[in-house]
Amino acid sequence: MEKGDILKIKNITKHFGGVKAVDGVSFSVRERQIKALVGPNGAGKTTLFNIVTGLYKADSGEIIFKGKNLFLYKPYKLINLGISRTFQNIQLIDALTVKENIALGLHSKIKSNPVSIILGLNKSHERDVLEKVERVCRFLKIEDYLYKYPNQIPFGIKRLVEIARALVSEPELLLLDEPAAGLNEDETELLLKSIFRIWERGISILLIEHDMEFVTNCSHSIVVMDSGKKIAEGLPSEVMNDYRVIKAYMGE
Amino acid sequence: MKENTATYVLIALFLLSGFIIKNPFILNMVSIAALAVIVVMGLNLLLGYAGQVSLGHAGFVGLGAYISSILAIRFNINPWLSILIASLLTSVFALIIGYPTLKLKGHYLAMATLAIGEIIYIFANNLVDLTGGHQGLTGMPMLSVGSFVFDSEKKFFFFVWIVVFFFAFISFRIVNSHFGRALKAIHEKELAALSFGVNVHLYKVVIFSLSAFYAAFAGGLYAFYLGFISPSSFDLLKSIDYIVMAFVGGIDSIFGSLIITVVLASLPNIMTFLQDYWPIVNGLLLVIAAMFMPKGLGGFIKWKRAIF
Repeated sequence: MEKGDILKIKNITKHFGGVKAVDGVSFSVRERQIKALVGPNGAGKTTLFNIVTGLYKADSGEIIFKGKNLFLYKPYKLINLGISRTFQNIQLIDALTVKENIALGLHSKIKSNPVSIILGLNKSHERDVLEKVERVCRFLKIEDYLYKYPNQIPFGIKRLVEIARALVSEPELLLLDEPAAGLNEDETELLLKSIFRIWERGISILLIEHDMEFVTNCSHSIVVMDSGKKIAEGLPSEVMNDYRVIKAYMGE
Repeated sequence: MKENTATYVLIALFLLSGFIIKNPFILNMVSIAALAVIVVMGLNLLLGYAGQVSLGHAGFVGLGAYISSILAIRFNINPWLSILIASLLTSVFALIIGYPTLKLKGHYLAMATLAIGEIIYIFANNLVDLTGGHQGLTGMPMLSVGSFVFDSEKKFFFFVWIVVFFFAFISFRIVNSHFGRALKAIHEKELAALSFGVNVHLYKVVIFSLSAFYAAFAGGLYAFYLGFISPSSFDLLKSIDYIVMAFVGGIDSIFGSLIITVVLASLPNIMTFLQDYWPIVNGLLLVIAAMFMPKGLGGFIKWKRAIF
């Protein structure tokens, strides 16, 4: 493995029936890099994301995270390796407060057993959890919403809560699935700043995005997919001028 | 007031009512209702928190009742120990059967659990040598602690509400822990739960097994209290009764379920003139609840409190 790559995606292929959703895609995310995966609708970006996070099984190929083959791990084990994600269609739990939603991100870190739950011996865990949740909320400036429920907060804040939930376990690789979708200009601006601040803490980021302008503003490197294939990869400035990319986005 | 405090207060009120109520008929009725409360609390965990349905819970109540009775009658095992063993065996049974079953979702899970309940019912009916078949099983010794025998409605009434308190306590501890958080996540957004380190399938199986424990324990107490059990107490209609109680009470509200279960379990005994028509009344109640308080009494209370 080339030194400095935190995530290596090798030749991934995935069929749904007769449709090749992802077709032999390879690329890697370097440590402390913000990498963007872009492409028109149906290009296979989210499918690839779901393969990385173990929700789908690839037909062939390999994904290596820090030297470990991810396909050998169950999806719920990935967070322990240091991979965390957000979802395109917000997956906050309506029955839980913002605080509890974010605390869910720490689920795998809490070591306890049924007996200690029933005897109430996990109070100290809960204090730790609360402290970490509050810290990440201050970091993302959403501490005012801690005790609100998801249906009581604006859409832009929901996205940040999703990011907070992914961030609270202190992952090494953060996967963001269309973080800017549905946000207005101010919210996008705020998100952009937040993403940079996360990156400053040494976290590598792989994000899917639709919005080319957003991507060119925030990423170090871009991979472009179309119809399941990788059609370009490189610096934002290079990729934007690539003939195939323009064709995929604008048509002939 | 928090839901757990409110529930404990309610249970305390029921306990205290034992000093006022003299009528053994009512004491008996409310004691039997309290046993249903335990079953529904277990169902709450499964249905309201983990979001998994079971149409076979009466089967688990039956397993608890039959296994504990047979242990006590045939093998002369202490009744308390019998109930405990029966409950543990039932939850192990639920663990084994839940492992493949809970991979199913929605209607398929409902059908599979319905089948589990029916199979238990058929066994209870046909293993005549062990269970006495449809004529039922009798001859269980009375529950006792030392020389203190639970031989009156009143004594059992106090005892069963203390048991209800313990089960409510366990429920709240679970619901308010990180385990409860994970269950709610499974209920709403299974993929999110999975992505944040929740072993979704294992959790479903564990909570299924725990709710079977609740059911079996109530079944064991039922058997020793009444001294007589027959398969008809554990059939599909009973399973549906429990589901109705949980839904009308509010599937994720332990407080609401407690009230509604006591009411719904007692009503058929008060309105005896309805006897054969009770399933119709039950169905009507479910429809009315679904129309006017879709989240049950518990949801209704939360909604009212949010307004005022």
